[in-house]
Amino acid sequence: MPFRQIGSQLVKGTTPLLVLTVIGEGELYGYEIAQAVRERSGGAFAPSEGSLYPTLHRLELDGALVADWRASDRGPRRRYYKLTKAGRGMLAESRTEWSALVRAVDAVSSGG
Amino acid sequence: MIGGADREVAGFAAGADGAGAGDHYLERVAARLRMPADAERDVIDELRAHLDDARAALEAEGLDPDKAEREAMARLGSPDALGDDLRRTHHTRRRLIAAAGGGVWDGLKDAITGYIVGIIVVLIVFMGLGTLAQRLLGPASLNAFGGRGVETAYSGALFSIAAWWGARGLVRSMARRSLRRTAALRAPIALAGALPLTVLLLVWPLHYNWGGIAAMLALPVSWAVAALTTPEPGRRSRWSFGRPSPRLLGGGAIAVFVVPLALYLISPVTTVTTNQSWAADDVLARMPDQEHWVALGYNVVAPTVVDLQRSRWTSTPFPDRNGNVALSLDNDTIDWDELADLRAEAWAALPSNRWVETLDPRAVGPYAVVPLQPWAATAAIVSVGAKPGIDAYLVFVTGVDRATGKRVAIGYPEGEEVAFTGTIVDWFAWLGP
Repeated sequence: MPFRQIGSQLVKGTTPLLVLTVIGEGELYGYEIAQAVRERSGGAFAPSEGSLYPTLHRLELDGALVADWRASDRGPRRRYYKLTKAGRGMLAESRTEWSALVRAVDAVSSGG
Repeated sequence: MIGGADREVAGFAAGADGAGAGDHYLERVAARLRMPADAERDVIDELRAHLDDARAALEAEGLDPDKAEREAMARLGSPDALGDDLRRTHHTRRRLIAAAGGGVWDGLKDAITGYIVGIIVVLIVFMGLGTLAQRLLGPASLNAFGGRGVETAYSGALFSIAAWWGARGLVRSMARRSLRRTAALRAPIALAGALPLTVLLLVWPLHYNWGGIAAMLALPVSWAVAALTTPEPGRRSRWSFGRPSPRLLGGGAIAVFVVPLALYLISPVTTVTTNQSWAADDVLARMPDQEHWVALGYNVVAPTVVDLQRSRWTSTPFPDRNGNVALSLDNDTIDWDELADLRAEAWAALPSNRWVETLDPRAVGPYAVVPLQPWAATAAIVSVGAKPGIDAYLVFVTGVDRATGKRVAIGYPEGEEVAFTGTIVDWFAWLGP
């Protein structure tokens, strides 16, 4: 059964966490990252592909990711992203924040 | 998909120029990025790869190629919004400030490089011009290459070249570091450099004449023009003339360097040595005719005879050093053999900051005299002494013309190489007001 899709505003705030999570498991390029998020969430999370690249570039500027170009057999060169040590720290911190948020939202929405 | 496919891209279609709808989409994104060409290329390549992958996946799902391309673009959303988002991501204030710091450093290095290149260029050009002038017009023509006006022009040229290189280096470096196009930085950098430079030059306490001011104002003008015409990296500018051909480079090198160098090598050589002799001494040895000058009321201080090489001479007064005057000789335009009894004479003058000083009208003779001897050294420091009641002075080299027996004023404190037969007072009368 497909997951219910989640509203774009909720997705927007979670995009860095989702991106860092999938890149943390291996070097990926932009389209692969979008696909990985979509597939792993069963389609519930499909980050707006337009917002994916600004997020990737911002994380790279913040030092969470490094990127390098590689030639591809399937067309233009691809830009692969890899998590840095700072990125791992950022991922751990984001997970902690997310857990705290989920617990808090649960507590409020369940009536307490 | 979440966020919804942006239907704004539905209008993109393959163009008549053969470019696909994806190409037009990417052009719209690129137009919003406003980044240097190489950075823009990287971003567009990444998006192009994304569109290719998405289209291939959608075709594999059964969409026809046209629909697959439209859907791939729709998933990326509005090209304008995507371009704006990417530009805002990269064009941060923090990055701009950091780029300014690095850019100033790069600009400074380029300015120093420009100054060194300027020295080489000015030396080569003026060596060539000077050599040609000497060959064609005689040694006296070299006088046109000396003097404070020309030195100001040299300085103006050097600083202008340095400013040109520095401004271009700053614009290029800041553009590269901040991922902005040079077009966005040209005007602010032109203004930020030229305005303070202009103000600084105008308020700097230097005694420029109008020519000097014009020469030095070339510096901010050079800065502004260089900044405003800095081309985008990777893009051909209408101000860029490209790399000259090897033939043109070779011809230019021969014209500005080889020919003058050859002429210089075959020209009569004037050997100039650069030792100094010092006339000032704690012990005031008496000149043979000191009594004569003292009797006339002059303050004669010349413990030793100063050696001077046959040459024209210039003098630089140092009023704050109690009358020490540096006499330096730098080329061969005076025939010293025709002169006897060479002297440096100090005359009372009226305080003035004009180039042409005014002799004190009460002065009927020098208040200090130092004997000179040519043909030995190129520079000397002569202590002519301070005299109570004299606030300013002028120093001249004089000699007796062997042919006429009259004393000749050979120079003027600012270095004009005019021989004048007569007294100093006559000479000033000749110079006019």
